[in-house]
Parts: sequence; C-alpha cells; structure tokens
Amino acid sequence: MAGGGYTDDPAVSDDAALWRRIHPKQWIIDHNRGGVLRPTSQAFTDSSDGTPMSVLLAEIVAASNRTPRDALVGYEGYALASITAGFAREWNQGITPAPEDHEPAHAFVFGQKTGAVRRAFARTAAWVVPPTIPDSCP
Amino acid sequence: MSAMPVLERRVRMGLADEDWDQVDAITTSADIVAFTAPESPRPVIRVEGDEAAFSRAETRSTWFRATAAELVDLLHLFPNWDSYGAKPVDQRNIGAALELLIRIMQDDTPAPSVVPTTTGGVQLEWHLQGIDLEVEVTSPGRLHAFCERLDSGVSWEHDLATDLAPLVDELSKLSRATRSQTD
Repeated sequence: MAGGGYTDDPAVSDDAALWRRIHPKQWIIDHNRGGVLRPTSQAFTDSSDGTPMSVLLAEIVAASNRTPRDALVGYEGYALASITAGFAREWNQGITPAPEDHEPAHAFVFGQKTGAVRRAFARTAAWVVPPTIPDSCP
Repeated sequence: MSAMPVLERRVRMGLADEDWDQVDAITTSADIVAFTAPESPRPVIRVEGDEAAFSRAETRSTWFRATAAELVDLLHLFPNWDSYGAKPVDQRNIGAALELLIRIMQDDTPAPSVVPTTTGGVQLEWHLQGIDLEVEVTSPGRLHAFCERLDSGVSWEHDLATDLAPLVDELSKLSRATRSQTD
C-alpha cells in the first residue's frame, strides 16, 4: 500500500509490535468490555501537522537494549499501548520506518484514520506499560 | 446547536458569591473564563485564576459537577500535550461541549468520559449498558457522533447540526437502562 508519498515496508512483519504513547487524558473506562481501562479512539490519530501517526517499532527498541519503560523516559505519566503491524494493515494502513536522530525506532502508520479505524485500534490495543493511577485519585 | 456564544472572557459575573459552589483549586492560564448555559444569561461555571466555581443551580445533576470539572481541567493542557504535536484545547470547544451536555443530558444520565482531541476539540464518550457513544466537538456548532448498540450490532455515525434528537434518544436509553439496573 502507498499513500501520501509513503510506501508500506514489507520488512516490517505483520507480527511487528507498534508502540504508541498514551497521555493520561486519553485513558477511558470501557464498561462494555469488562470495565477495562483502555485508550480512547482519539489516541490513534495522525498528527495535527498532517504527518501520519507516529509509533515506535518494538523490535528496534529492543535491539537498542531498551525496555518498554525506557521508551517512556521523558514522558512521565504516560502509558504505552501496542497494536500489530498486521492489524494496522487489515485496516488499510501502511507502516514505514522513519528513524529520527534521537529515536531510531520511530515509524509512521499512514492511511486514512476514519473513526472506524481509530476505534478498532483503541479497542484492540494492548498495554505494554499500563496506566498508573496516582495515589491521590479516588 | 445554536450559534449563541457559550463563552465570554472577562465577563462581569451575574451571580452573587453565595450562588457559587467552590471546587478544588485548579491551575489555569485563564484570567477569567465563564461558561454559560443555553437560554441563560448567567454563566454556570467561572474560572478565575486558580479557582473554578459552578453555579449551585446546575449542581443538582449527578453528572454536572464531575464532568464540568473535567472539562475545565482541559484548560491545563499545553501545546504538544500528547507528545505528538497535539494542539491545546480551544476554550470555545469546552464551552460548546458543556452547552451540548446541558441540552442533551437528564439529571441522572451517566457522566461521560471527557477526552481532548489532538486538534483542539473535545470528545465525550459513553461505553456502558451495551451502548458505545462517542461525540466529538470539533468546533462550536460542529459535532460528529458515532453510536453502536452492541446487542443488535446496529450503529450510526454522522455529523450533527441543530437536530440533537439522535443523541437525546440514545442517552435516554442509557439513563433508563442504568435506572432499571439500580432499582
């Protein structure tokens, strides 16, 4: 798949885990699915500047001897959620590595993020670093 | 939704101090922000410096206090709050979300989850009683809603303008289901 100048990279296997940081305001309780705390559909959008949704390729994080928690250094309070590349492709998305100077594991998930796509990601995402509820919360 | 302004800055408050319920201090960059209710000349929330207060008339609703506090709390979010370049929430969208809720909620309707969107909007979500309902306030007067009933698989999704009946209908079902569960 190609779109917006991006091409899906077959080197990213369908089993590849794609990690996305989730801000505490993007956690919701879903009573329809056992009362779980999960990301909102609004956590899986393209960037507001028009670039595609950013993720981290888990295998590259691991290859640099970093843990999931290391991927959240500098992002205190955030959680880390994961979807697979194969699941993203099922929803007509493509994945392309886009390493940055400070983050070699950075990649884009490109393709139209309709509400259905965002909700599918939100309902399917698994926590890699689950949310931590502050002690001060009731 | 009406085109009535829902937010005023630096307004002169129309209520006496005793008409307000103080809530926990919050931090916001706003000087004075007041959110008004539909068909009401008086603000129902005021935010002054580090403090927010709600008019007592509105706090009868079980959902109002917590939801209004969550909406006001979105004023804390700074640019890039999600670490992916998100915009801060536009105060007008907070007012629009509050106005919408006052129009469509009953006193005992379950409170929504309040979620900021990365483009400066607000999303209100209910995921209970077999109903998934998400309402995105993109800008004042511009709403997009999705609803799915898990038992039947029936779903709808569309932009809403002045006709809020679909939302009122779904939330009434939600309220009834919640009521019958607690009776």
